[in-house]
Amino acid sequence: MNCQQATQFISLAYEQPLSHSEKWRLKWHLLICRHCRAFQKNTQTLQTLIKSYNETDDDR
Amino acid sequence: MHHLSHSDLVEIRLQMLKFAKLQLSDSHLAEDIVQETFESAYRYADRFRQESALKTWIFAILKNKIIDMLRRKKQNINFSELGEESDVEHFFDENGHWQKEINEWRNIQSFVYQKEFWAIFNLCLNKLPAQQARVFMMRCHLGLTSHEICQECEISMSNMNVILYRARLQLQQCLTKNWFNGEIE
Repeated sequence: MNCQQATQFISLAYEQPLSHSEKWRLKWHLLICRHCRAFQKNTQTLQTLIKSYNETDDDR
Repeated sequence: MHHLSHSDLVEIRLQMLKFAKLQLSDSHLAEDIVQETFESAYRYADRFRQESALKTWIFAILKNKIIDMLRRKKQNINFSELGEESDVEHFFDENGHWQKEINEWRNIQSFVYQKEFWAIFNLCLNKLPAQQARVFMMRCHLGLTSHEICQECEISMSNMNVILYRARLQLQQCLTKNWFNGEIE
């Protein structure tokens, strides 16, 4: 698995469950690749952020 | 509503229009739905004391109206371009490795409530091909199901997955470049 494939799987995981082998291959790749780990974290951040879109003045 | 100044209302209305246009890709429909939203909001406005809560609430009404409209009137909505096929390629070299380094975003809590961050976010969103931005917001912000999005946009599931992937990649790159890079300590 290369970085392009890994990032595709990271995104896909938000839409549908990955297969067992896809999960494993992704996991292995993430162990060795700092940039894809960053992509995964940022994707999650983006996912959370977008929920507060338009609600930036909300009372906390 | 009575607590908002005239300029606040004008500003909120502009934001609503922008959001509605992006989702509906029809400026007349967007005008109508924003008007309707204000009418609904006025009817119950007395319940809301604080202007910030009021704004959130008005946007919630707008969101629900857009979701309803997307579900009801799909045939009236004009879904155009799919975005360029090659826009992902420059992120990776021919072996599928990153061309540009990507770093983890930090200090997230400190900027979520900043106006400036959302201005940059909007800028990045508007840079995406229209279809990408729409699908991404439908999925991640409005929370429509994959099935609903595929129906509305007349695309296959795998099309949708590709669109979302590209949107995530592009948004990340744009936000990194325009916001986070200045923030790294």
